[in-house]
Amino acid sequence: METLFLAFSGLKVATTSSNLMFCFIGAMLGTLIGVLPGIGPTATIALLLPITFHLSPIEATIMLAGIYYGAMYGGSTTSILVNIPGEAASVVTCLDGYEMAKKGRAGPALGIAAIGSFIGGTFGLVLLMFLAIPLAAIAIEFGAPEYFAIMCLGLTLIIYLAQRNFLKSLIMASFGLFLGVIGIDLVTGDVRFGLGFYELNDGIGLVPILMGLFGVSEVAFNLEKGVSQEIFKTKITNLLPRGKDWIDSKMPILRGSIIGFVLGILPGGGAVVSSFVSYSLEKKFSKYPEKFGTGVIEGVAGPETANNAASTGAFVPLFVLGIPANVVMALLLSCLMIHGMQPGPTLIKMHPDLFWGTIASMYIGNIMCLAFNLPMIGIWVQLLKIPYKVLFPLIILFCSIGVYSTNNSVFDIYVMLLFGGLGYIFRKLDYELAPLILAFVLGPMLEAALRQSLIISNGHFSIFFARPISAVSLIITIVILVLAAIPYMKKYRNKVVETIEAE
Amino acid sequence: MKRSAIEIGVPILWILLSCFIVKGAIDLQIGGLSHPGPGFMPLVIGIFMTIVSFITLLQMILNKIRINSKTMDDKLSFANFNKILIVFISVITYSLVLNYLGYLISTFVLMLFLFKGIAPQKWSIASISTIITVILSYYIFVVWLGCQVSSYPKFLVY
Repeated sequence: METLFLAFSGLKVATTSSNLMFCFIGAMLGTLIGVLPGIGPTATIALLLPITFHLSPIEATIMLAGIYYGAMYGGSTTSILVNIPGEAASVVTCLDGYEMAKKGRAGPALGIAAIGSFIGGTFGLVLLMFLAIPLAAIAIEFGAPEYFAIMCLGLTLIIYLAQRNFLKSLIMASFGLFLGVIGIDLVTGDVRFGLGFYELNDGIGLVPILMGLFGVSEVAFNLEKGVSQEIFKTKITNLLPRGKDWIDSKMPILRGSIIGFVLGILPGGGAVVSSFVSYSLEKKFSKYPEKFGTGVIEGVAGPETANNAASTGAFVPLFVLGIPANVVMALLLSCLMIHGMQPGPTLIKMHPDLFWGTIASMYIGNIMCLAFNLPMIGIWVQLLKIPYKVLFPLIILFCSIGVYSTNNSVFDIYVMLLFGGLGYIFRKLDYELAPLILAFVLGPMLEAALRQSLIISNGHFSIFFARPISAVSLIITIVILVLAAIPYMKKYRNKVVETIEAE
Repeated sequence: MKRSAIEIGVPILWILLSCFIVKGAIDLQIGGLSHPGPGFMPLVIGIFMTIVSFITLLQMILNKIRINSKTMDDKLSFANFNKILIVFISVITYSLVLNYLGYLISTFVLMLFLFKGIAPQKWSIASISTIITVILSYYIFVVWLGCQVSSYPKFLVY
């Protein structure tokens, strides 16, 4: 009952004219960048982070959250019409969505994607609303050892779930931790790894790193391979699915909502993993699994629902623990900290208007996105015709001047370019960027928690195993690392056996 | 350039970086377990990175594995690398002249170059896009957000 009362008070906050405006801007921008290939929600939020410095914390959070879930809606449009995912979580929608478009069923595919996204997003919001307070009440008992252990677990999960080489992801996480260490040590005041640059005394800024890794390197990558889009020429009719489409989609939507929300909470899970898991699950449950990939509506309904439910679930660890579950949440965490908010279990109590206002705005934003994606689909299709050679100079300018405006320093532009070059090389060599960013954001908090824990325990590591939550988290972390190492040990053992047999 | 050369070279660079981190950590005060100093965390990171980099290097040298369906003998292509390099150089030049020439002129030149020079299109499209971009971005960043940059060249102002 209290939750519903608080939700209504959040509605009052969300329906002020300025918050409604920023919700609209966020949802519209999110849908736009979801539609346009070549730029995703991470880069967009990074680009807009400097602008949010001039907004109130609630306006900034509402807008950035709108961009995130809006992109999940928009990403399906290019997947279905162009066979190019608008953003990573819509990759799997290409498999059946594009096939449906080729069969003249682009309308129902787009319609079910939008409706499934709405249902998944709303489901996630309801759970977020009812789970956040009880979870925050538990989290308030956490101390430095628990935070250290949970952050280690979160980082390890992200590394383990990395789609590429596990060892490379470990290196990237270490590199991210090192970057987080640069600057003045808050305890002793020593400058660490400043290399003589006084600009590095405050550490490397998050904005230049993000703009470089996700903005500039993305442009470099796209310039190299060339982004061409050929829109499938089909008349888009009958956006509302037929009766049979609803019957076929109802269970995928239900399963997608649950899977998406649960995976969204887990660090490293998120929208991408949930959409893939949902697709695999639907194929398993289907009476006709061989039809997947030929244009079945279940292959669109499940993943699109899952990715939206996951994008909402990701807010749980951010608001409750102050730990980001993915890179976008790391950006939102930075945004909140820049505005003087400390995310964590006390956030809901200390800033109820921020929490409940954001939740209420997400309900409103989901309705807006549904409106953008159904009746306005014709407009988005026209936007797909914007050539990348017009888009990339705008991205470069926004990155450069956006970075400059944070500290009015040209040094930050150089840092951005350095990380732009590094990001390009990392992508070429299959080094994942997500572990780097998460480690960079979590690193200072991880170090602070570790140092506090060791001071409390007088140097004994047993403190981490004496407390149940930190013990369980660390044991799971060790198990995951061992599980990840086993394939390498098996491969090495097989190699040795082969060599011996050959001799 | 062969992928194998780069895949072996990069872990060596990581090892060098991690040695630098360990050295830097030792120069800072490491402290003890009961009172970790500023060098404690960098030392942990440096040692961890050294171990992982060594394992990665051994993996690349000993096994000649397939990496995500790419073989070590594949060549790593850098198509259109000159375009990418030109974009980087143009942004560096932009940042060098920004405070001297002012926002309007330096952004105009950069945008015109990027619209016309990198992926060629008609002069009319490039010019119109440049003018619209400069005006909009000026109002967003300089007027609305109050970005501290001179709108006009210094030699005109002073």
